Amino acid sequence: MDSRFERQLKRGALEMLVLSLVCEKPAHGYELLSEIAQRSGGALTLKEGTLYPVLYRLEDDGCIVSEWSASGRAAPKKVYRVTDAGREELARERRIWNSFCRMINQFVGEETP
Amino acid sequence: MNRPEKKNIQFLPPIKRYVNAIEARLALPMRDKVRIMTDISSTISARHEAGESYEDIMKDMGTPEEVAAQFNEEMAPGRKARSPLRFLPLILAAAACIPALFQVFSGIALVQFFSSVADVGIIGGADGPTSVFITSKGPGTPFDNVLSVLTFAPVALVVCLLGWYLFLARKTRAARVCGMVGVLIWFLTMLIFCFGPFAVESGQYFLLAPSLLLSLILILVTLRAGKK
Repeated sequence: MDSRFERQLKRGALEMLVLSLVCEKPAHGYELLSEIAQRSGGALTLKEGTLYPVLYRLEDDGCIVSEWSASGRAAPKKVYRVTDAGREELARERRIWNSFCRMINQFVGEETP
Repeated sequence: MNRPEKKNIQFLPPIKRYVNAIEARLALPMRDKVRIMTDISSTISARHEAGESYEDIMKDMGTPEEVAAQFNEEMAPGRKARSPLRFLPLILAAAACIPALFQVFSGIALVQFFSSVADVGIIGGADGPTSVFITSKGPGTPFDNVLSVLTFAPVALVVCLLGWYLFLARKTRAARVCGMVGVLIWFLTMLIFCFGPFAVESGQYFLLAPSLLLSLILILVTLRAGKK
């Protein structure tokens, strides 16, 4: 994913993508990085410097909260959990995303195999 | 790492040095730094617990410069890392005051004891109290000390504070203007001490040299900052 168009698309959708993952279950940063890389088949490989600022923006907006989680003898980790406001925000973004995709497809059309 | 590391830091484990190096390169408010460092630590712990070696983790994350640059660019685009040198002019300004105070008190003492102590003066430059020493000064001119200090100390302070302002403000045009003002002040000071009403005997030019040199260094720093 190197072209400018792809970079901009990724940047625009990243916040929604991260919020949707945190909505599924509370996760720490590395879990999110792995999950995104795995589900996208390696097409989306984020660095820490890209993911964490997105999490901080979501946290500042009240969509997620961070807390320390310790399990067994493992080192405590900072885990992000969605809030009610975050769920509402995700639903709103999903609606916008779907209507946006439909609108853009009216111009460029869906690719036919 | 490009920077030479201090000896005591060498005893720290490489992963700790790596994390410290990232933190040192973050040009962000303390609140953001704390958030980032706790997340980086969590990530490293999670990856290590998943079986990755610290060497592999560091290699995959990138150099401290790269990691910090990503955060800086994402969270404060356009802002550059602040140099610790920005406090240098302020420290020099404070240093310039110390010998000046010695001279003022010396001058007051000379005025009080007038004739008997008039041929002993304390010489100090703007390079710190270590340069203060006692010397024979010839015929007593106690007011010279007071006048020269009262004239020069504010000049040194002005030039030093100009440099400090420029380091903080990073304003190119201001840097040039202040640099030129610094040059003007410096030459005026030289003229006053060489030919002005407060001209003193040759021994005191020696004590002025460090202060004038300090001013010159600050002017050069100012002009250099103005080019960036």
